[in-house]
Amino acid sequence: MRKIKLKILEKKPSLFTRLTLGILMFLLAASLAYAVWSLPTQALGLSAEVAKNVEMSGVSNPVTAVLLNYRSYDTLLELGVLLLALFGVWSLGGVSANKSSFVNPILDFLSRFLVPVFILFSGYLLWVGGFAPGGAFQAGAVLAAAGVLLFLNDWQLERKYSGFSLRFVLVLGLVLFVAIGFGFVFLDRVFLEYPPQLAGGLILLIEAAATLSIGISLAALFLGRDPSVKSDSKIDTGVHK
Amino acid sequence: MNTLYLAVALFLLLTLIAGMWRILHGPTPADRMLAAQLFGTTAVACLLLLSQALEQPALRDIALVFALLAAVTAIAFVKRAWLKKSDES
Amino acid sequence: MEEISILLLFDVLVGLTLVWLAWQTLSSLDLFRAIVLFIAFGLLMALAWVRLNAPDVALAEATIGAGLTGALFLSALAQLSASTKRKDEENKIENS
Repeated sequence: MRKIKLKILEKKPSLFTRLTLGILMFLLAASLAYAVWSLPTQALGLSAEVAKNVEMSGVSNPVTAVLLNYRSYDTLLELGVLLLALFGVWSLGGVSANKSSFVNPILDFLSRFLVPVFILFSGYLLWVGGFAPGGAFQAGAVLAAAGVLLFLNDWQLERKYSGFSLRFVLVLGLVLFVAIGFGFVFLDRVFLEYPPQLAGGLILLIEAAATLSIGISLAALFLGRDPSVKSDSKIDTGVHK
Repeated sequence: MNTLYLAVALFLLLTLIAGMWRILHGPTPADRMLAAQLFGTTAVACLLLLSQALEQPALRDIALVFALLAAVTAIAFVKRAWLKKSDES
Repeated sequence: MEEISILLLFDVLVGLTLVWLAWQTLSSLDLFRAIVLFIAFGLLMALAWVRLNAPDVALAEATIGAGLTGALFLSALAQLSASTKRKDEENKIENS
């Protein structure tokens, strides 16, 4: 591996620039410190309200209750942001496939052994999110790590799955979330309000779909190109041969 | 007993900070990467001790995450950064 | 109150090391070194979230930091060094 150095850091800026930046930074730090200092020591916040109503939310972990019940709008939009990020990366064309010529038997064994464990652990995190730290995002990230491991081992998604099936899983979380959110609008409730007796099951359902979507999206972001585009027909990455 | 756990966790943190030397000065990339992997192992031990001392069982899950996912970074290093060492200047 | 003083020392050490690591990461000229420092930063950050009593955030930091960003950065660096090498060779051909 060649050492890549940042050329911009190699020449020192002039004394004037450094002095001005130093003073500005000091002012910023001082105002931040003042802002933190003037915060009330006993913040009221909404934690008491959350704790009081957590039984209505369907889950006993207050963080999951906030993310998927009280403030589920934020989580819904986050799923959208992740999808948009993936479209952005795909629209850039993509990087050339980084393939090595031989199969390493140790790596092959390790990934065969680890990927099922990752998937199991992802399911565990999803389930445990209802009453302890965990949840869709963490579970999705572990699922994505399994994907990263496969991609590092030069695994490729079969072409028949890389078209519609892949896109279906990518949008599944968002679509299900919106569908359930709208579903109860017709039953005289506001958007994204769940009936308390169904909330637990609905949250688990949404989280399961979101885990799949988040995991596959993050893994696809790591791959950096649309797998349905042929990898050997390399798209221009800005570096001409 | 909790004092002992916390003291050991503090000691592990100190060894972790001492290990920073290898990351900062390690002559080859492999030295730096292995030091970071050792950080992961130490953090697992640290988290397990903290979970016992602070009675927060959730910390065991975080330790489990570190133990499992450490392999991904190591494999990424071997596949993407280390094998190409032969053509370094 | 030995326990509280040990925990206080632990917190202070984690905090100081985090700031120092962040500075080292940002000011590192060698990109590979910066990546490894960033991985170490992620580990300590997870410990800091644990001490701030936010195990959910610590879990997210651990999964993203240990499983994804390290591998992503290393792959990006490999891609970057391949492309700069190609550019260097082009320049050589053009100059000769």
